[in-house]
Amino acid sequence: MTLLVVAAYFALVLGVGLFAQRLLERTGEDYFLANRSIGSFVLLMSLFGTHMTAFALLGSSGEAYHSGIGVFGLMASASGLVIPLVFFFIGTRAWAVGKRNGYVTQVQLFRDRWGSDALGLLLFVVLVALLIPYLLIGVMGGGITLNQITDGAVPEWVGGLVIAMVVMTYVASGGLRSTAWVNTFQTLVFMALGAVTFAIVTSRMGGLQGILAGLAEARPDLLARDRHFPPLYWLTYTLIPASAAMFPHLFMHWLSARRVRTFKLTIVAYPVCIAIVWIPAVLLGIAGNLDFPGLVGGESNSILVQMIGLHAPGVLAGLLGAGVFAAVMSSLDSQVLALGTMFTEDIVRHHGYHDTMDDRRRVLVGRLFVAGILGLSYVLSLVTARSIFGLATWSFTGFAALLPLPVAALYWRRSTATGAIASVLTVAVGWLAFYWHAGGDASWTPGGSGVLVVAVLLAASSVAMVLGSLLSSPPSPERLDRFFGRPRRGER
Amino acid sequence: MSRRRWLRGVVPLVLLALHNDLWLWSDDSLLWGLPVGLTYHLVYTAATVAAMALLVSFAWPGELDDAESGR
Repeated sequence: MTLLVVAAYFALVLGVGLFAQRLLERTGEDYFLANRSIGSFVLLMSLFGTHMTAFALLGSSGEAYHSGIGVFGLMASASGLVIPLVFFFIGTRAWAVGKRNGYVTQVQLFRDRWGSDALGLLLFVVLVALLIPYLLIGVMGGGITLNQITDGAVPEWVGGLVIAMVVMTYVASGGLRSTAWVNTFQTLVFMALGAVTFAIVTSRMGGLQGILAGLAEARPDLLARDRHFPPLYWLTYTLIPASAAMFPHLFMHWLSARRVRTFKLTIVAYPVCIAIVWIPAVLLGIAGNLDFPGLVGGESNSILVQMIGLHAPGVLAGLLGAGVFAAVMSSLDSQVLALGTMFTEDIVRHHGYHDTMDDRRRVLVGRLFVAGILGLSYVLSLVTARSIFGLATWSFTGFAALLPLPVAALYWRRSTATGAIASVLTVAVGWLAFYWHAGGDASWTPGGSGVLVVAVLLAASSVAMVLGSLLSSPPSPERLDRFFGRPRRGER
Repeated sequence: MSRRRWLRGVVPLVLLALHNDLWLWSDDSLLWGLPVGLTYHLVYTAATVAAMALLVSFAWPGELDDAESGR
């Protein structure tokens, strides 16, 4: 019965996606950006759905299982502040220059801003490399969920494959328009079902007060933060949500907005949406210590689904499992579409066939690349045993450290290609060095200082941007005029 | 300094400071039925919503609206 419900959900998702495909105008701009026609509510839902991944449901509950209530403040309320600020300061301006200059990808924006093909190529490689762990957690999350809600009947490798195939189908057919519609649907599903899951599971466990009383006896350390969150770690973790400034999939959604005022609802409502998803996930993760004590490391990735399986049988388990799939797929689709867009526009079209490639061929090449990257992520998911929270933190660290790029591109006219390249190289080399040194442990801090890698990398990449820019010739006024539009009063 | 610039600078900094509620770090008591550290961050989230509403109402980058309409 559970499997039937899940299969019905997948069929519904495919139906929504394929219906949106019928509106597709078969042009590159419609496939990749839905013709820049997305309104306020769909922008909020699709951005939020894209952003909330296996990390938000499985990663948060899994981490809360080990570390307690602090996980909400560490990531959720910090994200509720930082991400809307990213949309306010960077998203709106990126939209404006994107619309003025016809950009479809981030790489186009940065390459054009600084007039450097080398920067474009370097950035493409770094962005794809950082996105792969993010894709990985989506595929892993799908496999874990299907395995747990069927009591092990469906192996994890099958669940991961099914998720990848469903996403591939509706993304390949309808592009961003399908993705936006499906994300809106899936976001509403996982927000509603998340609240229902919380109500049912806590009720069957004797109510929230009973759960907290049980935890006060068994695991009082989970109800405060002093045992699990050093203050410097907490402070520097606030930089992690800044990764939203450089996520290719979020950037693409920004460009799809109908007008700049379309961002207002998203900026105001985002913190509420985050709280609606994270509070139940964190509380259920902590409560999992009462039903499933003694889980170690990445074993807690599945705690949310195990709780559903224990307390909500049959059809309900299928429905609630569908909510988890909704969160997983609503990110995976945008991520793979962004990758396909970047490859088609920034590599094949710009470096290979230039303007000789027509729209049909652009779309086809994008689809082939999508299949290749998803396949690679799927294979990697079969051999990775790490915590979802940890993998995501490393991915976000790299993206957050690239923050100097959009800030300099949109606000500092004196910045140059040399500064941008220096900044990206600093992030690439630094990230690899730290990852190797930490052995992949996301809680590792240089020299045991308590200061997360993200803070060190961000500082280093900022210095590289400033020094590289000041030590090289300023960009031409013509390039700045074309990028920004009219010069500011008093400049020239 | 204009009101817009003042809001854009001060609001994020104040919220960032308030995010580091060190005075509740080792407190595991309950407030409104939840651990106080969690309750605080729920209230903090509500304050963030209000702050964002303030920013979009009084500190919106109007030059982008102008550019969009061709003024």
